[in-house]
Amino acid sequence: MKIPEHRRASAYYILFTLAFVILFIVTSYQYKLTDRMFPLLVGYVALPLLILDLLALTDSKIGEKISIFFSAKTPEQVDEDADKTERTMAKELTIFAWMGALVLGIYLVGFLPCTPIFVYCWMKYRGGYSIRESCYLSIATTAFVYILFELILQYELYPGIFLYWYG
Amino acid sequence: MFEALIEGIVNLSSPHSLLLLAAGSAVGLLFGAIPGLGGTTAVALLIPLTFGMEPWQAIILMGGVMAATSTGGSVSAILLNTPGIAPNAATTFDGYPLAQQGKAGMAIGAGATASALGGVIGVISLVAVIPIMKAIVLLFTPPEFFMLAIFGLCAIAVSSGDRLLQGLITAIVGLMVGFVGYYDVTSTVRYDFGLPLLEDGIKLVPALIGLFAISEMINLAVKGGSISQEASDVKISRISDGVKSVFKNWSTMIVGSGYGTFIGAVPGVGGTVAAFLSYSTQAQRDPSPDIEYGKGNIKGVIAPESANNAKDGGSLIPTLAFGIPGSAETAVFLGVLILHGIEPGQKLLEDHQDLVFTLVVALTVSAVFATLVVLALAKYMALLTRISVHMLIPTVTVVALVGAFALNTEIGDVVIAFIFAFIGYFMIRFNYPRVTFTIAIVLGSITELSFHQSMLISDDQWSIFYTRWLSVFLMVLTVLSLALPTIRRKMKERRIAKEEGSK
Repeated sequence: MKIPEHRRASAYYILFTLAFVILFIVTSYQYKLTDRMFPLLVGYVALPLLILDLLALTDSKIGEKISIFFSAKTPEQVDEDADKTERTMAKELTIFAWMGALVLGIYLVGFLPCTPIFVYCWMKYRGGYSIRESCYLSIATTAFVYILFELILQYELYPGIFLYWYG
Repeated sequence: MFEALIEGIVNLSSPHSLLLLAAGSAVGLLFGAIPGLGGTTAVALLIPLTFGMEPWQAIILMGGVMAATSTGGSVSAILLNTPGIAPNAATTFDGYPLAQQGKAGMAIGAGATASALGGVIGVISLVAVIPIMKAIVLLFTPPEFFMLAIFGLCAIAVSSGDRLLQGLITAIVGLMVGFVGYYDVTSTVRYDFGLPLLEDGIKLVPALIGLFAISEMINLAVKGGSISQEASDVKISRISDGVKSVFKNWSTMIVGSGYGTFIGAVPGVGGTVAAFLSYSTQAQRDPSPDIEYGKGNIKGVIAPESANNAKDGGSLIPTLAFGIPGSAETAVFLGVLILHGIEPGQKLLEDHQDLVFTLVVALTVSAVFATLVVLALAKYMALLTRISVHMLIPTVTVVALVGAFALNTEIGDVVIAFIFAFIGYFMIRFNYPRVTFTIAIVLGSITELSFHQSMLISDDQWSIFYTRWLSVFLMVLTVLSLALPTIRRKMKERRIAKEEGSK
């Protein structure tokens, strides 16, 4: 009973969800009966469903039966209908890194310095736009954020942990 | 009810309200026309702007967005063969062939007019149902609410089409996420892992912004390229012919609107199913058409467009009456209501009828307004779909993160939005329904509360769930909804076997 190479990523996703559910169930036992009763009921329903989902990915008779029962399709038909967009791990990690850097940047120096830097860098290095075009959009976005949130809606935008440290 | 309607009209008649409605409709049209964005993203992104508003102003803004999205989506479906949002997919079947024949204006005119009339019919249905809704809501006690929430979740999971297992898993995980934080019944903080950020539970607004707005941006970034590759140099003329064709084919529009309203009221089924069912019914009703369906029959545009706009009114029926959203958009809209201290259900229908009618009037006016804008600016709207993703991604991401922060001015909310963006991305990647997940998060606390209240009423007797007729009825509906894919599969197998036998 093997999971074919092209379905491995889905299997990891299911295993991750399974780990989350197990953690949820284990954590539930530290609470009183009233607090854990319904969450546990829900948690224990999730376990067999996740195992079935995992089995449906396998190259086996049982996998095919589960797939047909729940989706009226064989695993091969499910593969055919799946989104064929090429998503390499390197590309995904790069995007995650960009997004992570933005959030980290916001945490460290706040929204206003981060907004133009992020928009400029994205336009220039990921979009391949000229310096001028990248500058225009970064200034426009920053102005939009500042005018709408700081001036009109009067929210104090997060200034970053550094400014907090320096009082 | 009449006074509430008048109040709704008064609320909307000030210049400020009209400006909000126009802004909402413009955003709805824009996000509807650009494939990959959609109304849910628009509603999620606009939530932070409503923080300082009165509830009725927030409702007007959101009503504008919701009513305009599918009208905007029809433009890219007709001109570029690329549906702006999923419910517009059925419009491409005949809309795009019409555009190829040089009748793009006619198709847009018909689509926009059918959208407006469908939207108005959906809203009228909502108004007609309001008095009955109050009586129905009174029949619901905790066990019925519990069973209704379970039915809603199962119906939404089943609506994931051929991904029932994934739909059910997502619903359960969503419920689990909904359990995080302070639980009022026992005054306990649960599943917070010692993090102050989670003590009050997962905050809905940052989670929604992450799940729908930022995750879409990550997905677009990974996919790359421009949103639409098709040329947009289509000539737009004969719009008035399209408008006239809707009145000529009024029965198609009425039937489509009926489908939209009815299907929209079933939680989770949504506009896509309504549009496709309406299209296929129209094709069946018209066995010998002048122009074959799929080759540029104008009725093939009217039927799905009237259905997918009428569903807005329909999907608000369970949202306003029970707090069970009929679609992803209404799930996010429910978040807006909760944010403004409005609790759906009996209280809303009795004490805040003015708000319900403000929404009704906003949806009606916005449906008409969006249509007029589309009729006037169709050509320019098509150009919007040419915007490069590299311009959209950084701007939308930054604005979304600022929005996530603005609600409580807590940097932790940015982290929540970020985490949910990744959850949302992986759900897109592995084809797990985000709508089910969102609705389950919203329903998590209500479901558990109803469960505990039922147990308290019955002195811990489970029989309370199967000794009350309405609860049993909802239980039967739940079982039927879960059995539906199997029944459908068996019927399909039997039909295929019959066809093979006759050969």
